[in-house]
Amino acid sequence: MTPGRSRFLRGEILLALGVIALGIAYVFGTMAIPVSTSGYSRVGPADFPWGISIALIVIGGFLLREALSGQWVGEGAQADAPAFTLVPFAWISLGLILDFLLIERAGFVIASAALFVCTAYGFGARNWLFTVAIGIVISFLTYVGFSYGLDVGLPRGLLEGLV
Amino acid sequence: MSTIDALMHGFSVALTIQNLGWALLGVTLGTAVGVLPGIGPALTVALLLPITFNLDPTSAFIMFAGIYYGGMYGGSTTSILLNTPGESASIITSIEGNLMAKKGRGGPALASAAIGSFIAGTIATVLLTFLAPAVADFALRFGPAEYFALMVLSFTTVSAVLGNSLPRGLASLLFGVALGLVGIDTQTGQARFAMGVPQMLDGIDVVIVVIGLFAVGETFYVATRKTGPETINSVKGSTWMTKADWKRSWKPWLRGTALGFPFGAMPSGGGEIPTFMSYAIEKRLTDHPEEFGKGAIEGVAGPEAANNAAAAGVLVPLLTLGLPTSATAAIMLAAFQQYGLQPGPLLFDTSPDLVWGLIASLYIGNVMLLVLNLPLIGLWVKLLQIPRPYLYGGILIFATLGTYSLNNSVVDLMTLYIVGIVGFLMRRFDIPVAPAVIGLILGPLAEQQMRRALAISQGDFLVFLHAPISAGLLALALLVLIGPTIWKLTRRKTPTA
Repeated sequence: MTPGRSRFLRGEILLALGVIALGIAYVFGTMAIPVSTSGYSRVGPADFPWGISIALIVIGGFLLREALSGQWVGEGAQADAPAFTLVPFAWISLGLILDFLLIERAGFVIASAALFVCTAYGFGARNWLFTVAIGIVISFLTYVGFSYGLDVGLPRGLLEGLV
Repeated sequence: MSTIDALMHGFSVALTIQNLGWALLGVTLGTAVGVLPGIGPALTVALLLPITFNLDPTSAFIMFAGIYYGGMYGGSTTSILLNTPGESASIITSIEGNLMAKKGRGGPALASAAIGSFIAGTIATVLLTFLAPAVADFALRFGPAEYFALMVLSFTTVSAVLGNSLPRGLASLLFGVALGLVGIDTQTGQARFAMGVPQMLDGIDVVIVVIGLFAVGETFYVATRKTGPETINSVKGSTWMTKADWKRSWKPWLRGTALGFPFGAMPSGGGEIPTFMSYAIEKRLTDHPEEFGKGAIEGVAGPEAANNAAAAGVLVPLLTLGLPTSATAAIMLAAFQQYGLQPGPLLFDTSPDLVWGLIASLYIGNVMLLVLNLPLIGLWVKLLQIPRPYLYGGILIFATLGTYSLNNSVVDLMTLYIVGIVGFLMRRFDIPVAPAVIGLILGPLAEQQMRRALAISQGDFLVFLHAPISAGLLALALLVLIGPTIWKLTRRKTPTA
């Protein structure tokens, strides 16, 4: 194990707890399913979900055991693992968030170009002007191809008015 | 109609100019996405689903089958020429293939992989042609209880086979099944797990989940790892195999095929295990053991053949039982559902054009792929040179485009982002992604069969144990779950063993 890794706040343990939490959330969700007791069918809409919810909790328990016993080691803790950085994650997240914020407001081309530029920056592209230009060209060509060639309706905005 | 007649009819469907065009488009796209790191056939079919809605189902499936086979050919190119292998089934190929390429023998490695894929693909397609109708005939006897038991077996084997640990495979599977529960229950009309969000009532679309896990999750994963620069081995010297290469390749091709097809055809799937086995066998049987670990052609020929034969085998349970055992097969099942078709024994009677046109197009696709991959290899190598920032930027544009065009909904794009983060965590913490996709598609079908069986038996759960086939399948499933643990325990008791 790499030094400095917390014994309990490890990703593996948190993920195992997450699976258990999902199972518990599904128990509550299952209880919220209205089941009619007078119906003909004896197997209602809640039976299968009960099984899945309980299975999630049980498997979460097995995962927790795997994580605590050190049998389960994600990439971050392996000796030969490549260095890890969350900065690109933030950039690509920004791109995806901008995409769903902009797509119906500014149109497909601007939203996609923003996503492209953020992703490329996250991957280390530093030539802003060139990246922005490529992003706009690819998005624009995609828009034209899909709207006119394949008849896929994509949201129009500022730049889409050009065609 | 005999199988030969049916196949001939299939060729008459597949050999129209129009369908040849779709097959060519499919194998070309498939090779391209197989070569490109970061995308594969499952993702490509998912991206194409929203825009092929209006296409004739037979043509669409001919194209999908081309993508499926093409992805296997393309994947081997990447694993031989790039120091980072693409999909998991070609990891083994990359061991010897990469070393061969470094020694300047990339050409023969690529040729042995492509010809081996062709031979394995063709033999396996012949086996598929004759095995599938027989399995379909047998499956006509299956009732809801048998189908449910078969799906449970498939769930356990897929979880055990795809990944490094059973709990992690099962967690992935259950995550998929749990997502599949969201939305209106089709039998009673009750809303389940929709949390009051109207867009959730229709359920979470499998296309979004596949794109999220495979495209967005993969992009996050690759971006956050600071690996050294990738090196692409150039193809120097002769691309053609020497006489010695042929002599050393043909037996591994055949042995790989013999290993791969049965593994693919069983309702457990997984192209990886037969590739590992093939590698181990070739290493033992070779006349040149000193070359293993330094670039032995047998280590490329065998696993590549096994990989392709397994890919053809996977189509047996998919077409005859509606049982997907790989991520690509799962998304193809979703495609069947999009057209209102249910794969299974009846499909051979109700849609002979589609089934046999699809099978015939596999023969044609294999020939096309051999031509595309041997002389045109230089073209595909160019694809590897696309700078990563622009490649992944482009992948995400298509990912969001495919997602948005499903329902023109921004909510879908938000779901994509969330599923993408989940996919990223799964990759980072070594949880296999494919079981989740299979669970999402197969979960609702399993529930349906379970409720049908219980409705017939009036709520008696013993119905699954009364029918011998269903009881046997469930016993097998149990064995997959607890067998390894028992084996370990008994071995611990007798340490000398």
